[in-house]
Amino acid sequence: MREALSRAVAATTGYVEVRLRRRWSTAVVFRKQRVEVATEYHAFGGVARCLVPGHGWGAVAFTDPDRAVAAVHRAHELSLETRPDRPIMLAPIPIRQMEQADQLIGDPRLVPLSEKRELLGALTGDLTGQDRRVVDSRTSYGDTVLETWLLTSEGSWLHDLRCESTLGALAVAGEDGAQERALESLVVPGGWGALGNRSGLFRQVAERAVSRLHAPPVRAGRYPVVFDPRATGALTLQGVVNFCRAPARGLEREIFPLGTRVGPECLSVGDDPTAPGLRTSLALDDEGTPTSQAMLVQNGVVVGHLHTRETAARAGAGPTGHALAPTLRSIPAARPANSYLVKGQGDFESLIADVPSGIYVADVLGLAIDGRQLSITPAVTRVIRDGQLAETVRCAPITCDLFSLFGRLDRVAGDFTWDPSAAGLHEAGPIRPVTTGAPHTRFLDLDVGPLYG
Amino acid sequence: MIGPLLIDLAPRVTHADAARVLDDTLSVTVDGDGPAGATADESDTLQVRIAAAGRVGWAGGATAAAADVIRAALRSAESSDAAVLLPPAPAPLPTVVTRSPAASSLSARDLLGLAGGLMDRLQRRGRRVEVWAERSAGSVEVANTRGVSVSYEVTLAGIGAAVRDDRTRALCRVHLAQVGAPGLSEVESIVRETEFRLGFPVLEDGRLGPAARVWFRPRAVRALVAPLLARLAGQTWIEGRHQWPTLDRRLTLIDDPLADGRPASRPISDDGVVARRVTLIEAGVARAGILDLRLASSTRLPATGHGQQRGYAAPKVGFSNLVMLPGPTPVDQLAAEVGDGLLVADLAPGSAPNPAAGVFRVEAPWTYLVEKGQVVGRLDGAVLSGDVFALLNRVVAVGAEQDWIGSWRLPSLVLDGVVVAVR
Repeated sequence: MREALSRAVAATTGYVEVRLRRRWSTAVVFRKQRVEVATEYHAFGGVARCLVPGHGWGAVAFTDPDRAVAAVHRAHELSLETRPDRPIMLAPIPIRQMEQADQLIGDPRLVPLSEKRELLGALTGDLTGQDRRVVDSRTSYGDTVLETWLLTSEGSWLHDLRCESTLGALAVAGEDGAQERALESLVVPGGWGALGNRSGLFRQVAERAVSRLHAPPVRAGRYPVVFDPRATGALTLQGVVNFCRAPARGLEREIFPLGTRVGPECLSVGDDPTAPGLRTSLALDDEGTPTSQAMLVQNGVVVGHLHTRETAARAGAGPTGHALAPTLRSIPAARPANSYLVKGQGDFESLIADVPSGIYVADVLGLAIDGRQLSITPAVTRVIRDGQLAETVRCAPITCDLFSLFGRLDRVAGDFTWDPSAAGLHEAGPIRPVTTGAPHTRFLDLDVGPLYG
Repeated sequence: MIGPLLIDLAPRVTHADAARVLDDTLSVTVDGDGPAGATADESDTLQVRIAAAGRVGWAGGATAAAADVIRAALRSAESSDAAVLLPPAPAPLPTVVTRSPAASSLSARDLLGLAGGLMDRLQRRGRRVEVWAERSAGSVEVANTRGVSVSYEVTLAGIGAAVRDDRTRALCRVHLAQVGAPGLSEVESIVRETEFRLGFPVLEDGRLGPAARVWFRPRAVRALVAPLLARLAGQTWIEGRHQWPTLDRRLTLIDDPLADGRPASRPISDDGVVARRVTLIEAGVARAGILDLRLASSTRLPATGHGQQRGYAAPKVGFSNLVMLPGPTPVDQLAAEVGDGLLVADLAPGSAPNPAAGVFRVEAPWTYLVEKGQVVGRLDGAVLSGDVFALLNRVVAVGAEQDWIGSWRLPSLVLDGVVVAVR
């Protein structure tokens, strides 16, 4: 492969980058006890990009590996067609050559589809058999093997092979006309066997849905809200990290300018693609830049942005190694890999100890962004009463202004964890997975609306 | 190419069908720094569905790996539950324009010329502008083991702009897409829409009653009627067709794959069913829903030609072009019908009512105050809410003119009782 790519890159002038990706994946989905999807994919995607000095980017995406050389030629021609008024510069990077394609342990490609179906069938049985009030469910198993080759005309080289496995469960419980749902997902790096025994997870999802059936609703009003690490991670990703991504061009996104205060002293946020053992960790990004930890917010003030080589050069900053493409054939842009909120001090108990009346939110079912409005649908909600966790309640979406949310952050605990569920940044088009990490956090005066139905 | 594949496969299966999509999309962007880049996307994907031993499976992938895709589809069928697939036999195809030679031959230079022309019209002090233009050209090939083997060529061309007003921070996006090459009239249409939206002063709030009469222009109507579609498609239609709410008699909605030169125009669906017009809602009454072949086979109902089998996505049911019939009210009388109320030009990107319930609450950044039949200014931070099904039974007027917006052809609607708040 390296020879073929070298021939392609050598075929023209200017800066050239060719990335090829091959992905083998499996998807099995059950709706209750019936198989809805059981299939395998074998996808290939390549991108050739060319930047002739004094011209704009030319890029060609393709699905046939034999098109690599032709794609480079076409990308060169397209680059020559464009001539921006301001020349596009690329920040210099150290040249690395990395071979990370060791044999996979538990290669899922060698496991028959029928065995994967059997695994999910058994887990689905655990969920649906947990309680007669589970009236509907949707469960999923997935695995992916991803092989990447990247070569640039400057000499960067990457060959990477990795795999990950996924489980998902949605349970709907119903009784006396009421319906409630609970959701859980899990993504782990590694192949067949990496998921371990997850019967308990599937049973818990059913239990959670059932336990919500007769839970009383939270009275609408403004409350202090304590979020668990998973919910905090999701809020940090959408409410802070997303606005610290330097845009390639155009007007599609707002960005927090450096020096802007976005939260209190206890708010510090970063992104670390080098964090060990996470499925989204990387050595080189999709431009061949060595990845590095990037601090975005320090003590409430924006101190950095995620960059590609182009955005770094434009900003006079160093590239951070966050040029990431969401799909096999897309162009990289500045995106997070492993986003985190830095831990503070104290444990969870001390965080709720002085809350006379509040809400505890464990995980979120969904985050909806409509213009500036953020709507948080909690997965599990409990009342905090006199400094103690009390009964489970049902809670309407918590709504707030996206840009002022972190201004209401009051305290950050010291119990940091990375979240193994499937997370992604809300953006138009395909979504690239992101791992989030955070401790428990406490926000003041959030608006909980009335619950209908 | 896929016909021979299926002939080889036929002895091993009960039925099989396949759809191959070949596409070359070329797009350019121009911003304040001039032409920023040109991108081509060449794709050739295949999806194969197989019925064997009473089960149905499918797989998708690159056509270059067709043998792998077929093997995966066979394994998928082995691992799936019992199901039926009854593919159609060949039938005469209707005539419909799906390709424009002019669009097909648009080069990067042509597209940059178009985009540059639009940029010149929109660029001015106090604005930041980004413009893009693109064209895709390719073919769709559909076949099954009963002898259907059809190929048709397709093109799609589009042009659009995003304009940010530095003073108000408002970001206005407008784009057009069609089978034919865009020309001066499309550029003019985008300029007209953009200048209308940005051309009014921003008003202070506090001038509204709680429930307003609202003129939804066609782009806003598109987002508003989404719940109707969710309830007219596939399993949802089968389960809920007898519990449809009554809508205003002036509302008629047609799914029309045979409209010439539109993004979803086609002579045949991906699952081999000949395309035809389907009247979904007639005079406010739901008449028909759309079904793909899989659902039609399992329910023994006729397939309507709305199966989509593209690339890696699971086979699904999907609409083609959607046409809402016009009413009698000329556009210049619509503001008078509103009297004192609002005009909504578009809803925020991604905003749509909740498809299941029809209850919605959406940001409407392009909302204008109408006083005594005159638009007097734009309301910043307007939020609309209501129940779409109830609103579509409180129609004041249906516009006499329709606009094509991508694969939708829609008139304006004036509706009563929309709940409006200003943030």
